[in-house]
Amino acid sequence: MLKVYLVEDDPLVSKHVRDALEEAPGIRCVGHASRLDQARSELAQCRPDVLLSDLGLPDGDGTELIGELSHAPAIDGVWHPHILVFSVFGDEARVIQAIEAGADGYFLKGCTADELIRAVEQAARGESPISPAIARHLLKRFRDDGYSDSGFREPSFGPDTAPAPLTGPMDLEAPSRSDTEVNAREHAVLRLVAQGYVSEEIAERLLTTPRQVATHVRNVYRKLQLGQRARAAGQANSRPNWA
Amino acid sequence: MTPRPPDCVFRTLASLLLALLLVFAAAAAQPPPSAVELREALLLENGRERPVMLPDSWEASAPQRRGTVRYRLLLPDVALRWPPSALFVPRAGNAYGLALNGQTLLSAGDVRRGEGEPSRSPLLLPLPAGALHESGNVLDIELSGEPWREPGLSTVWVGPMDELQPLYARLHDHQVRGAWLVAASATVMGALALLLAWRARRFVYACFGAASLLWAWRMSGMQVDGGPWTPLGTVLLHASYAWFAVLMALYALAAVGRDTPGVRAALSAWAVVALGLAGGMVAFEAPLARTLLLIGTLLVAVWLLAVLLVTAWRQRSSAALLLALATLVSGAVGARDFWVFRVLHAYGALTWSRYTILLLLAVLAWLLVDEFARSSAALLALNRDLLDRVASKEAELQRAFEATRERERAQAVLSERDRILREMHDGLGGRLVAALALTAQVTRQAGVPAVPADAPGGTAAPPLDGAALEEPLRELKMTLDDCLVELRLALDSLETERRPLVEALGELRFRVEPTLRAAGVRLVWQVADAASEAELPASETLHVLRIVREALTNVIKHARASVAWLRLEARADGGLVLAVVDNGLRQRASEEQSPLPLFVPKTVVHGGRGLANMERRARSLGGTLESGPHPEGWAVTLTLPAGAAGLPVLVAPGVRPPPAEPEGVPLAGSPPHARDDRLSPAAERPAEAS
Repeated sequence: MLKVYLVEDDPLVSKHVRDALEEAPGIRCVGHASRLDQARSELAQCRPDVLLSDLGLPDGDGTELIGELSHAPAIDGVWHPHILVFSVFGDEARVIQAIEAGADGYFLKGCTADELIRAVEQAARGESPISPAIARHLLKRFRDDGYSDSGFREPSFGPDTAPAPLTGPMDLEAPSRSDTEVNAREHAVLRLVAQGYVSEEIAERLLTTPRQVATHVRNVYRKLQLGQRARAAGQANSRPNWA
Repeated sequence: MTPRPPDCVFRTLASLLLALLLVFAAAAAQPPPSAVELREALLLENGRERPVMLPDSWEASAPQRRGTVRYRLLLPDVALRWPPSALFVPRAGNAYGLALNGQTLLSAGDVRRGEGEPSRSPLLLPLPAGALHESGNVLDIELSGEPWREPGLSTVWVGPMDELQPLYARLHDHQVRGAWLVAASATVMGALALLLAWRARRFVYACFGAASLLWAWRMSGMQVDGGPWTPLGTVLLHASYAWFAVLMALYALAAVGRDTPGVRAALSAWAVVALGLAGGMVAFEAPLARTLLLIGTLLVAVWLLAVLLVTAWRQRSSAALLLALATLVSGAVGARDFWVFRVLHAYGALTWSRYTILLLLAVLAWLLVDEFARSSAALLALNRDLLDRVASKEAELQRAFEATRERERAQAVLSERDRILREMHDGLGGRLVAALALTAQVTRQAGVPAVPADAPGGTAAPPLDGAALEEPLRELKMTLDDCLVELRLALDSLETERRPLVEALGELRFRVEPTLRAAGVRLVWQVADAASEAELPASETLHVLRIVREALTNVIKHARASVAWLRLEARADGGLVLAVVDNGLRQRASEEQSPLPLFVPKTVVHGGRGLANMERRARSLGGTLESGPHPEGWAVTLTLPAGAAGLPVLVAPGVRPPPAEPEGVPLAGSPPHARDDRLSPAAERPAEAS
């Protein structure tokens, strides 16, 4: 049984989501908060597998909550939810901020119940959704941040050489270059997403599976988080520790 | 006119006059008590002997005389009481010898060789004690002269050497050193003035330079003993005095702007007359001619003085005043010399005229400095004025530029706002109106007032006839989705950054794919690599997206297709071909189990307003739109030639050759990529990936 916790202040949306979740087999909505502080106090007890969070809330930004969850040591060493944020069109920059803070993906506000269930199940499997706009933002972000000197090459169509997904946010002691830069494979995925291909088509083009493509996307998100944290640490130490 | 210039003028003039007075006062010092000035002599000429008074100027006493005469002077005993005694001859010429009691002290040749022109050089000669008698000493002076070279004998001094020495020194300073000083100064200033005249192209300085050099020549020519004078040299030397006055008058008049052609002609005529007078004087040995020459020159000076004074008064010109004063002094000095030499015939007297050049040089220097200062100030003022004007013009230009730019900016904002409003009105507005209409329809069918079905509170609305409501509600949802997409497209078109068309299409796909999927249409994405970098401006991109959206909407509404292909290909010339193709006919045929129709039924032809809109947009992009059937269904093809819609004309390397089909013909049914074969319309529809 997949436990889902919802943070959303709009009652209409909230009801729609909860109804959709309750109707789905194998999914249970274990809680619902309309404010950040309520979510903070309830989450530790509920320990959901998936957290669905809105970004703009009455008492703060959902990104804060996501950041706290990602930076705190995992409760009992095991619990850490998969986090999806609500997105409306045109807020890709906010979505990427949330991803940097530790979110694993997003889903569209106003999507159908089927799509919502699918997004939740994918997130629980460790796959991350992505849109062309977000892919474009990510490509720009990695290019602007100076990642391009080693990571960006034309995609190679050889056997899948992508590294295994990172195990979690705990192995952060010394982020190496490959931990914070997209590799050629991930770059190819981002490019194809930005060009409008969906994951099935990308998998076909890269001779891999849709699931593997989704894993690539999640790895890209993870690297974005690591890069963000390393940058923050570098700013604190006045010198990036991977340089 | 500021009060300063006259002050300066007076101060300068006063100091000059003081200097001159000092010189003359020194020369006219009181004679020593025991030295004696001899004023009487016996003249021995042609064997006859007669007493004469000294000084004896031949020009007055014997103008026609040429040759040698002898003066005999008796030396008084009292003057020889304190040896060593000496003889002081201030002036004697043109050549002379001396004999004391018959013993030759100095032969004529010695004098000539030693000191230059004798009539311009004083002589101090010690009297040898051995040659002196107790009393009744006789001095013979053998004097040879040439007419027009001012021959004659001044008074002669005899007395103790130490008393006569200072007299000699002073006179020597005046006659010899003074002359060379004047000549040198006049040469230097004259050369400078001529250089200035040449460089600045100013006639006024040429006059002064010529006058100055002429005076220098006159000074040095009279000072150097070149033997007997030639007649031409004599004429020129005498004429040079008048010419000097003429040139200086021209200079002064030009300096104050009064050198009219008539004045110039008159002065030139006088210069010629002066030359004639000098020539007549030499030719006819007539001293009157020389007197006339000098009087004429004085008259020129007086006339010039009058003109300058009038000018100074009328124009309040300090330069004219200064020049008038210089002329006054020069004229007065000239008149004094005329009186002394031409009327009194004081042969040994000092000439003052030679020093007038110093005064004139000082005036010129002052005027030059003054003019330089004035023109510098004028230039500075002009420069400042020019800078001010340039600055004000620049500021004006800048303001105009700012205003233009502001207008342009306002215009751009206005037209952008117009465009957004139009897009909103055409796109979003229409869809919202449609949504409203649908809401009304739903309300009507449900038979309840328009209240939100799922209002907060959680209790479900009373069950309605779901089957009847399903279709309008689905349409309402689609319409609202459309609204979101429209809003998104309008917002995207505000982006100023150019971005690849492929990415814009990708985002559109992301928005419309759920709708397509819900309608049972699978979208196959076929973007050629060569076309993936093509970029369009935001507003052009919006047109393309609208066309694609309209085409996809048509597929959903009319085609009954199961698969739709979106193809983007690059043409060899840099243009783009974008096609939306469906398999509606084949799908319909397979559903109805009937062969493909030989002609396209009218019901399938989706045209009307949607198609017209697409064509209008294609035209505004500079491209063409073809819409028509193809063997499997319907094809909408947008062709953007290179250069249209902001596409570059450059042929990018690696662009594939143009397709074999002629332009505008819908692309053939089978997709270009081999691995997409299984996605071709004929293939059965693969299951949705979940």
